Amino acid sequence: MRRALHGLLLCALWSVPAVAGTFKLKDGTRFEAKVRSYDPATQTLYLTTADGKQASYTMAQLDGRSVYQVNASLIPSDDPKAQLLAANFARDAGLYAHAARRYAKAVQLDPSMRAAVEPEVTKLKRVAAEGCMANARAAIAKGDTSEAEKWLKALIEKLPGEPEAAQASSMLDQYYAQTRAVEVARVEQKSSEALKKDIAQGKRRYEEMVDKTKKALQARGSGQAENLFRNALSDGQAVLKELDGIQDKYDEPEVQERVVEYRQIVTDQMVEVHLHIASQLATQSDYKGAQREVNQALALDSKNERALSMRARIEEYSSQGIGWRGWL
Amino acid sequence: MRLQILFVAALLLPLSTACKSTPSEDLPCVCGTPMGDLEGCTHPLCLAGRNNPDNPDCVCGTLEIPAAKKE
Repeated sequence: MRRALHGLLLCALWSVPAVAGTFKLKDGTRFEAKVRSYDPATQTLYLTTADGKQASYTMAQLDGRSVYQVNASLIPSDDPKAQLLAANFARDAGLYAHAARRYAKAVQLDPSMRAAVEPEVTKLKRVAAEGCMANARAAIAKGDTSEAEKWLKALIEKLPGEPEAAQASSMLDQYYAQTRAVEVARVEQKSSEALKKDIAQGKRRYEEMVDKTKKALQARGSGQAENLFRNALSDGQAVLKELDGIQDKYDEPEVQERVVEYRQIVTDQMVEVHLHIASQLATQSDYKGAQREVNQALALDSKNERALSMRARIEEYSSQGIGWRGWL
Repeated sequence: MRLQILFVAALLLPLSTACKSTPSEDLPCVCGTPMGDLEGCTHPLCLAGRNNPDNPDCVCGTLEIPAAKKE
């Protein structure tokens, strides 16, 4: 039954558009052809070339991004089967967000397709998790701990059920506090002994904030995580208050400059915490709560790209009714 | 009088431009970056389902059939 369904879906792929597209191979070769089908099991695209010959290319031979761009625009936006197979192609081409969007679209158009979509989404999560871990490891090999942390956090937040997420959680132990300690040390190096003494208490509180944020990312339950995130924010507020006092105490421009740098480090961490809470709330479809957190992040740093991006994403997902992590 | 008009215009100009652009319009198109491929792109053109012509790696604008190819 499943094989029959698979075969049916395979036949339906890109049979709708009769328009030929320009295909590009990884070696740069270009040619005109029409898509007949795509087999996700072997990642093979079956084509009819301009001179009527039948050809097939594997994803390893194709420039997947280019093929997706050319052909996806020919797919009817109201055809759930075509959406599913375009999603499969996007996934195999490494375009995970596009794949996720199309899987969600397929189910939205035809809820009875959920059974066919689910195993494909499972594969999507698998390859995406492998990709994230590979990127994290590549960054670690280059000594770029902040890039590594980005991928580890993406794994934990976006793909929590995958084995790589558990691995990422334990890897955070090594990199999370270390990355931030480097930032503090950079400013501390330029600070006078008197300022270092004044900043010591705030520094300890900041370290507690970082530790709580890390533990929240590693927490199993969302309730426990939110409590830790909220406590981390309280620590952040306390550090900012300390910095206010220090700023009032000194008139020297050099000290004022250092305080601004310390403040930036604390603010960055607070923005990050607000965005983690926002992501958690959005996952629970609490878009208003998520938006509130993003707004608080933007109140701290109005130009923060991640906050602006998340605000746009929340607005899009809440208006489309797809769900924050419809593909997860 | 002329000076007053100029003064009022100078006051209103920043206000009018502030109303026209929202901060999200400044978001870069991240299509083609590994994180962009995972998270999706929130550049206004991409969110609107259109391709960003300034980014050769942008593959957005694919959820609708272009009008010319509909027939």
